Amino acid sequence: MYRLRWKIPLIIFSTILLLASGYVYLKVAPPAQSLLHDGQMSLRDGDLAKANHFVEKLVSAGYMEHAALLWGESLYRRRKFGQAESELAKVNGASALYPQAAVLFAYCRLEVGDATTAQELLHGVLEDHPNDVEAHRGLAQVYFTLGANTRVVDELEIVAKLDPSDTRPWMYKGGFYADVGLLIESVGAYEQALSRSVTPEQIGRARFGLAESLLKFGQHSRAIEVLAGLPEMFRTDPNAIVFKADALLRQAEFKAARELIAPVVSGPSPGSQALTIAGRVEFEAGDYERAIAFFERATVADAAYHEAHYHLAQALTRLGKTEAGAAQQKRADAIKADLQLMSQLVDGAGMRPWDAIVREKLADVSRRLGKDDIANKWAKAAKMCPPPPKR
Amino acid sequence: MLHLHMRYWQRLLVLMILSQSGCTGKSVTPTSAPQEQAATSGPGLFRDMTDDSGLSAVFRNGEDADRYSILEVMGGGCAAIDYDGDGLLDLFFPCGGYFDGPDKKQICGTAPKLFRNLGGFQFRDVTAEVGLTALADGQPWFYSHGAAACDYDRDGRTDLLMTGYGRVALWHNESDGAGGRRFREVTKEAGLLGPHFWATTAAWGDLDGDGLPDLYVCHYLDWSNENDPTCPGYRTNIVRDVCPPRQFNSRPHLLYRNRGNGTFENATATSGIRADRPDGKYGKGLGCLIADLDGDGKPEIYVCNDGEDNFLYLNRSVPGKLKFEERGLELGIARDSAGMANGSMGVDVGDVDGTGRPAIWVTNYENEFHALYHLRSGKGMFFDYASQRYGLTAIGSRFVGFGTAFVDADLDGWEDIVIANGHVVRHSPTNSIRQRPILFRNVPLGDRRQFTDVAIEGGPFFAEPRVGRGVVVADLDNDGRPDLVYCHINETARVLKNESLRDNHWLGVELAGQDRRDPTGAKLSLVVGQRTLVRLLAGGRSYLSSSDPRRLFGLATNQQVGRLTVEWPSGTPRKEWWDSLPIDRYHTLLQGSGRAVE
Repeated sequence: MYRLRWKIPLIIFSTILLLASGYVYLKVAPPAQSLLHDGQMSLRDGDLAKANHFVEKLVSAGYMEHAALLWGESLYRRRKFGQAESELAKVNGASALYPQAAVLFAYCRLEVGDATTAQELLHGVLEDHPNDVEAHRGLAQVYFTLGANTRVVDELEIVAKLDPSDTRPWMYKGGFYADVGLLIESVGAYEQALSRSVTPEQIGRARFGLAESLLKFGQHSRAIEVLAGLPEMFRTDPNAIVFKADALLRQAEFKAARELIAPVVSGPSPGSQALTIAGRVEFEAGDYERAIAFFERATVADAAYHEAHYHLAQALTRLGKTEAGAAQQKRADAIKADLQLMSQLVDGAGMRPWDAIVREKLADVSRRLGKDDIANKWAKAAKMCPPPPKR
Repeated sequence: MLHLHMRYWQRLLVLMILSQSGCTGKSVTPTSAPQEQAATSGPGLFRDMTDDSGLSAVFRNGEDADRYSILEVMGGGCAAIDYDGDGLLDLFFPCGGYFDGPDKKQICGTAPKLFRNLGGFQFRDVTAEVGLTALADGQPWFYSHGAAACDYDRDGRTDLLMTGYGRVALWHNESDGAGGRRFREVTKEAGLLGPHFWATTAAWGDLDGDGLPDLYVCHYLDWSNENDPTCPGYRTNIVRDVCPPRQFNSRPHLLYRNRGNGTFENATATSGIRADRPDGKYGKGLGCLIADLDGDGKPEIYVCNDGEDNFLYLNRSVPGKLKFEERGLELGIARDSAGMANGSMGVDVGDVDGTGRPAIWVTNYENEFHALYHLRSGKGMFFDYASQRYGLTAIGSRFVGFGTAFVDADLDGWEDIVIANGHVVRHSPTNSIRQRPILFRNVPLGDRRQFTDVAIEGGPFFAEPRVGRGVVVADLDNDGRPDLVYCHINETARVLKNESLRDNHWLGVELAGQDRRDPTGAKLSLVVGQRTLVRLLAGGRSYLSSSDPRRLFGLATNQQVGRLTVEWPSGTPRKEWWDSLPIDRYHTLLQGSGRAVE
């Protein structure tokens, strides 16, 4: 009885001490997930130093896997892929952090040209976590790197469902649909992107895409309205002026189009689209000499811009320069043939993400069109294509 | 559609994890396009009279055999023909075909139908009465598409041509010996039996000025049982669909010169029409038009090709010798404003702005605008792409357009446009198969003209989606108001009565060439108030169809007209005029009965 009487206060005191410790621990030492999240936010904001601080905290608190994940991402963002992979490999496959680590590892693999492993890793994540939005984003990135645009769209549709706030799937789909001529779908996608946009840059890009598709769709007035809603920083952007001039041209408001485009084409390095619009305005007015001058500049600015070549051929013919017109038309038709070939090959690349041959052909066609940067990307994609992995 | 995949790599895609948080912005009202107008149950310009008319012509395409063949998508047209000379236009319909046999590889035709116009929008099926129930020599019916009516032998009676897969059929309009008329198939004796692969639209017109109507027959492509690939659907979850035309090669079109003795000479090889080409580019022909576009008295041939450059054959013929020079691309009438060939189907020619300069109007495939090519004033015969300028792109590029026509629907003196729309694939991933027809009204816009989509004004028919193909303009009740016939796939053709207000007046003209010379290519100019209305007499037109050969002038509220000048393509005089013709009636103008212009 005497012994029990002493033990009761002891038990009470120990319990209080334990609870107090736990309280102190929770209060003073935040959980690992919170530290990791804060560290990742820092990385997103570009604050590497702050992110490193969170790495140290995680290490101090003994959360080694969390630390490895965060440090791995930091290294990835600094393009130190090998080191990043080493860190990420420290995350155990059974860990709750594994999906994130695997996705990052996949990005690293993709950066070093190993799309096969990247895809395998991401599929592995999705087998256990089919709604892992980052894995779907990662797959979209893999397919984008391979030039398999239809597969990109498939993945981005899942991303859009899993993360409705993300504008990027909609922006990509807007451009994709515009490229393949599905203009209603393109307009719809850009509108979705715009409704999700917050920053001026996001709003600007969405409005540009929307305006361009509306123009192609024949809704010139609406395109002009959309451009009028551009954030201030984009109002004097040459693209905004070019699109508006194009809309005015299509509405037969030639004088207004001419006045609008004139400063752009007399400025430094006007693009081929601006020059072609200026040329078409003169063409409509019957001033074929001036039109030819603009079209010629457009074909120099972009040797593969088929429309400029076509209009140049038309203008030369109307000026009575029939032979020159015919020769120019021949050039235009050769470019068109290559663009049509490219179109078919890209369809094939979309259906067969691991087909190196079609990608090599795309590189060849791109080079023929004078697009070496694009050719290099296709060539790089071709190199990433071993026999397709088994899932 | 050409993919602009040059921009693919410019579309930077960085989907790195944690790179974007959730965000919301202000919402955007989605653009609904095309502007689908609400269905209307109220009256409109046109009233559908079909259900109580006795007309029951259905074009069957045989899609129930599930062959997914491109043959099934063409559909059919109609010919407006006064076969019995009673002054009322009757209607002839090719009715398509089907697939038979254990493997469904036998391509069979369905007999056509002829409906006699009884007046008051009542029709009676007279197919059997006139002998159109069988082909000559026990030949089986062929899968048919188009119809073209013309008095090819200048005996004063309009004859009939039907086009289709593998052949055409020409019927001569003859007395039945009992006071009526009948049709006798004369294809073989006329020399028109071959070499047809897949004949689509045909156009009649005197091309060499000898007064005899010659014949241009479009051909499409080389699909056959032996060349029948299986094509995937147009999206990943669609297993199979109709193959696109680019899967096939084009086939040479045919040009026949009328010898005047009931026979035709195949003049294709010697006339400059595209034939025997090493590049095999003959054009996948679906629509054609014969009209004098440059005013030199010799009608040109304009051909709509599917997915390839359209052709403009300039006429260099002399009597007895057909000669053409193809210059469509050079003259700016082959492609769209981006320099791309379109999937062109239907065609017509009209005066859109009252200047008298002809405009060629072409209906195209989805994701392409229908094209208006307007003859530019000045030197040369150059055409400007003018679709946007005239507001014709406002309906967007969602429609797949086929039959079409310029028609002054409300008789205000300005030519409007009607279009039949309907898709060709079985499972469109994004678009409707059934599409509403279009009525564009030609309205003023400042000092210019513009076309406005006026489905509501057109009447309930223009709000109902269908799989439309041929369109015919014909004044079926001779009230001076142009009526319409719309043909559809697997659905009854519809006949629409024009019920525009009676406030506006009209003048109707039927041209009768000297000694029944074919007047195709003639130009009519009518002074009405301050304006001169110009109308061309054209062969072909629309899609697989043949419209009223008369020309109607809408006079608005003008109660009289000035001078009507006719420029004839042949015979004498070549140019003559009539003054102050009485309005609100038809006039048959015999060549030589007017005042000749020296």
